[in-house]
Amino acid sequence: MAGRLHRLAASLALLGATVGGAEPLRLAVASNFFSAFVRIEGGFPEPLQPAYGSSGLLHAQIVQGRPFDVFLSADKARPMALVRSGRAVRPVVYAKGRLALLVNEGQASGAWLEGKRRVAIANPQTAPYGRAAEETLDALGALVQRITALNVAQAFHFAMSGAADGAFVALAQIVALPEPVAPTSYWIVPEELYAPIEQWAVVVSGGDEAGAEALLDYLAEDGTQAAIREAGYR
Amino acid sequence: MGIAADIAEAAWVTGLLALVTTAILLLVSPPLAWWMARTASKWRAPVEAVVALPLVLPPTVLGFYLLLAFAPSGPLGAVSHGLLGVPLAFTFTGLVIGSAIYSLPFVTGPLASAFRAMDWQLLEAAASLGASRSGRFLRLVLPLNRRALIAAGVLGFAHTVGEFGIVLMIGGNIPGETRVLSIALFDRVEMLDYGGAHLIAGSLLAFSLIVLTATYRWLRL
Repeated sequence: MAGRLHRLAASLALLGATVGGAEPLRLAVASNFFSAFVRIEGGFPEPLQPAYGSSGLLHAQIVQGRPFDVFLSADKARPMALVRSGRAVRPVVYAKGRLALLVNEGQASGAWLEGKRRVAIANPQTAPYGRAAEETLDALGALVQRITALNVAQAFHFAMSGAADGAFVALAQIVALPEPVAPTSYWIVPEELYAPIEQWAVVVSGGDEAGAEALLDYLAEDGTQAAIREAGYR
Repeated sequence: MGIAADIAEAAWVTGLLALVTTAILLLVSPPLAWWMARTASKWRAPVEAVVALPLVLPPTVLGFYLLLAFAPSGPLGAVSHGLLGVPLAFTFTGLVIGSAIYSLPFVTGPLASAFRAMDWQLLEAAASLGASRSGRFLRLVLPLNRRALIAAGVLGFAHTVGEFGIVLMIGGNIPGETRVLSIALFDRVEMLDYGGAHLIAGSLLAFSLIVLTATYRWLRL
């Protein structure tokens, strides 16, 4: 029995060594950037370990000491707050988000929002795309019922499952769909309806700062920026 | 809305949800538990397994399937939406359905155990004196097991108050409708409002501890 346990422990250690190699760079990534990240992660030489969530949740986790090397936020305020409190350095814009309305029935447009609908938005208090969605609804004076999701990923899911009539999501999420899904249509929300979604990244202090710097350099390269724009950003 | 009002509203929704769910479960569970305790049917084991599923499944599994079922094209949503014109997803009614399924084993389980431990000779005596089946159940079985009934109700209520995963999946965080205390707490933490978070978390902790202590003391378990 003991021998068997030893062998198990040894093989687990071996597995860890083969999979591990170099310590992966630990990234806190805003949910909206998932598909773009998948497109570009292969071009970076080091192994990456992303954790996804709303910018608010990830920010709270960093403040609480969850170890991350890089924070790719969906907003400017939270990375800046980390810089001000000495928890992060080198703030930089890595993407500019575009808001889109995805609907299950009818033609997506500003007029679609005049109906009695139930529309999912990311939590405006923690997710920048939710804040932009709220600004858009207020600007249009739309009286739809707002279903609040944890983040854009859940807002997208609420619409795709058919449970909500539509959802405000990141254009990047729609671009990432393998093919247009039958009854859905989408509308790219005009930029003047919401404050720009500048997505800022920072190097989190106390981790692998050299690796983090290298990743931010990689994100700023022309090729990477072109791939990010192709993924649904501006 | 102020933080206090927001939390008070969430507390109201939570209490109402737990109350309605417990009332439904106290109607459904006694006959179901009685059947589970007495039957020799080959369906007993599968039915008990289905009832017990929420004990072992992650609430997110139930929440995922419920959301699909609640969609207008889903089996439950088609009936509710099509026939009654009421949506289920992101509504209080939807939460009641989810909570009833989620808390079912916490009410049915203790009742079935109590029923199994009953003195069968009493029932036979009542039957020989001419008491009908429903008469025996209502006038003998339920009064004899009133402690178990109350304990089951308290557990069902407390468990519903403690719900998070399902509400997260099907609730939609609508103030006054589906924003319960556990969700309000999650929001506060994400906003780094630890004052509000402490208020909610501390109250839930105190509530659960008091309810369980009272139940255990009273039952002398």
